[in-house]
Amino acid sequence: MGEARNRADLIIYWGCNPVETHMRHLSRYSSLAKGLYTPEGRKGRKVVAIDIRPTPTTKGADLFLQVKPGNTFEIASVLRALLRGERLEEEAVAAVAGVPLASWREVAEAIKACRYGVLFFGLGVTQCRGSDINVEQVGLLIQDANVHTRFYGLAMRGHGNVNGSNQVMTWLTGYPMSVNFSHGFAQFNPGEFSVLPMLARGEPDAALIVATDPGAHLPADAVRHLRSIPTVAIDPHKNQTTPWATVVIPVAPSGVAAAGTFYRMDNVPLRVRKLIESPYPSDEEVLAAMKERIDHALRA
Amino acid sequence: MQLHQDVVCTFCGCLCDDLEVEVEDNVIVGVKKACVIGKNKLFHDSHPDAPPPSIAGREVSIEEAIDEAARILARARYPLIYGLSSTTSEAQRELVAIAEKTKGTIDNPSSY
Repeated sequence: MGEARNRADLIIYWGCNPVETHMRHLSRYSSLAKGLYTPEGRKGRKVVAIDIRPTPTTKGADLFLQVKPGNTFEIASVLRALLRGERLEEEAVAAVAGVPLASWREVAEAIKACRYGVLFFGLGVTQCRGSDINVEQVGLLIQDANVHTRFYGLAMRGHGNVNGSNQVMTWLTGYPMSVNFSHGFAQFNPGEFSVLPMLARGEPDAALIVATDPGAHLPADAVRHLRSIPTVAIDPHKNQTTPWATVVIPVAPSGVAAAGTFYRMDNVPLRVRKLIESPYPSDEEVLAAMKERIDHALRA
Repeated sequence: MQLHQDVVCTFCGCLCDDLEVEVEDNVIVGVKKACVIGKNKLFHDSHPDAPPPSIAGREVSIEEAIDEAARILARARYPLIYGLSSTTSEAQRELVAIAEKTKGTIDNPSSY
């Protein structure tokens, strides 16, 4: 994000609303930040917003494209086609995602004309039918943009260290998420080994939930399956999962009462500190102890 | 009173690392430079409402809870290990090891 702050003259926010969700993102890292080669801050940057509804973020953009929901793949595809110079006829492709082709041409031209562009994309892009192929198409769009200029894409990560879990799984297994060890080696298949479809199919016969609250965030049928199997919840706070979990283990909150590493959304690892003492152990201590006892039980 | 400089906020993926946090008697009493969400997160973490360690609703010691959790996971044929998004990478590493040992599946919220 240092690159975005110091170099980007084009910022695209797509399916995200950092003014309300990542409040300091704009002033520290993106459209409003003043950096080494961006001394004018917002004035020196072009800002494009793509979303399904007006938000405080889209209000601050130079160009706002209000799109119909569920069209991530189509939007990335039309922008790719335009960047690659494919001939698109106005009569044949009048609009994509409810937005006229002329507006998509304007975005493609802005990408071609910029010195350094950054696309920040949020859950509006990823939480869309087709799941992983959307993100793949967005990745290919960023590749195509790099034929013309320097261009980056960055996912607006929600939880503090959700990126860290992708990083750690990748260095240990080769895959960022949805990793299955049932054959004794790592297999990756989003959908087959993703939390929601697995719970919807009722497959897991036990669950270990750490630092998240499925009782609050997952759909009712997924929660129903979790409630029907032995579920272990490890969390620093009471939440919508702890009242019904089979085993509840309280822990010290990371970055406040437990130190460790968190990965920023641009893959920079930062050390988080212990500011106060907690009566409870850290996640790391609980899990290291649990791992040893599982080992012991499996050998018995 | 202790004043901590350049504290990293752990709420969202921005990880703003310029916060100033005041601690008095093991309680966070002041947070500067954070956004309103980050400030609330720090105050919330400092006034713990931790659930007591429990097994099937019965209060137990932490050690007993860890024993029972290990027993459940060792016996499971197809466990799911899920979450990971608000904990440290050191803890995430232990979770990948547990997934491998138990022949389970590990996933985080970015899959949906």
